[in-house]
Amino acid sequence: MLYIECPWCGFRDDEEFHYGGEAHIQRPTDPNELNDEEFSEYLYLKSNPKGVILERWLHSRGCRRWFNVLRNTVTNEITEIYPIDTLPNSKEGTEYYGQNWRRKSSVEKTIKPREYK
Amino acid sequence: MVDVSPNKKENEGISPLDSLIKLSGGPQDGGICLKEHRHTGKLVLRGNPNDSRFTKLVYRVLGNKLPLTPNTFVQNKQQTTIWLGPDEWLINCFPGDESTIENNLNNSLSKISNSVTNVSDNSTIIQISGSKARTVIMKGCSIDIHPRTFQPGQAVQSNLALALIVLWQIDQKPTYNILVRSSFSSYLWQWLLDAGAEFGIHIEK
Repeated sequence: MLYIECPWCGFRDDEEFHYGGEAHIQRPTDPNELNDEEFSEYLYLKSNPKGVILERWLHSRGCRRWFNVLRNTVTNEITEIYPIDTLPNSKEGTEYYGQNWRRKSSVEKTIKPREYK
Repeated sequence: MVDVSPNKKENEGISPLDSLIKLSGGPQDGGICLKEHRHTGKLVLRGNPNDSRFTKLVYRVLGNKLPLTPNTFVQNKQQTTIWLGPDEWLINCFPGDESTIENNLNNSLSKISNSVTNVSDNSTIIQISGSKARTVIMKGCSIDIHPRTFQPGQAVQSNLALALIVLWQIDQKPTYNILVRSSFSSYLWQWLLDAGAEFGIHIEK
C-alpha cells in the first residue's frame, strides 16, 4: 500500500486517492490541424517507464484536489509532490520532464508550450 | 423504511435514521453514546482565501474567521465552519438558519467571485461520544485519531467503514461528529452499533 502525502491534508492511505495517469500531457490547441497519427499519439500513447514517472493523483476521499507526484515505478518510492499547475523542482523530475518523448512529439511541436507558474 | 413523500411539509422532521433510532436508551455507563444531529443546516462556501475582501466579508457574516489551516474547524454559538479544501468550507448551523446565512453571504459577497450552496439534505450528522468512542472509530478509519495527533478543533475527510465521512472532534470526552451522506447513514449507524456492541451503547434521542 502506498502512503501518499496530499499537499493539503498530509499523509493518507492510498485508498483515499485516485490515480490520474501521466502528468503534463498537453492538449493540442487545434485538434483539426493534426492528422490521425499525431492525434492518436496525443490520445493513446502513454509513457510506461521502468523507473521514475511524473503522474497525477486526486485526493478523492479527502480534499478532492489534484496534485502531481514523482514516483519510481520499481520501488514505488515517491520523491516529489508538487502542485498541479507547476513543473517538478527536483533534479530527477526536471530531467525526466525534459527527456520525455512527449517534448519532441508532433503535438507539442505544433502548440505553444503551456505556461507553468 | 422511511416514507419518501414528494410533499416537503409531510417530510419535515423525517431522517433516514428515524426507523433505526426508534429504540433509544441502553446502558448509561456504556462505552459509547450515539446521537443524531437531525436536520442541521449545511452550506458549502467556496471562494478565494487569498482575497482579503472575501475573508473579511465572510468574517462579518459568520462572526468568526474562516479556518484556513487544512484539517481544522472553527466553532461559535451559531455555527461550525469546517475546512474542506483550500477554497472550500462547510458551514453547519442550527436547523432553519441555513437560508438566513445563505442570503447574508450572497448579499455581502455579491461583488466577489464565490459560491454558496445549500447541501442540508445531502447528509446527516452522527455524534459519537464516550470513553470507547475513539476505539470504535479506529475499527474502521485509517486516520490516526490518537490525542497526540488529533485534538478538539481538528477535522478530517476520510473513510469510515468504506463510507465517505467528515469527522471532527468536539471535546476531550472524547466527542466526535461524523458527517455522512444520508443514503449511507443507516449503513453507518448499523456498523457503529455492531462495532460498539462489545462496549455497550447508549442511544440518545
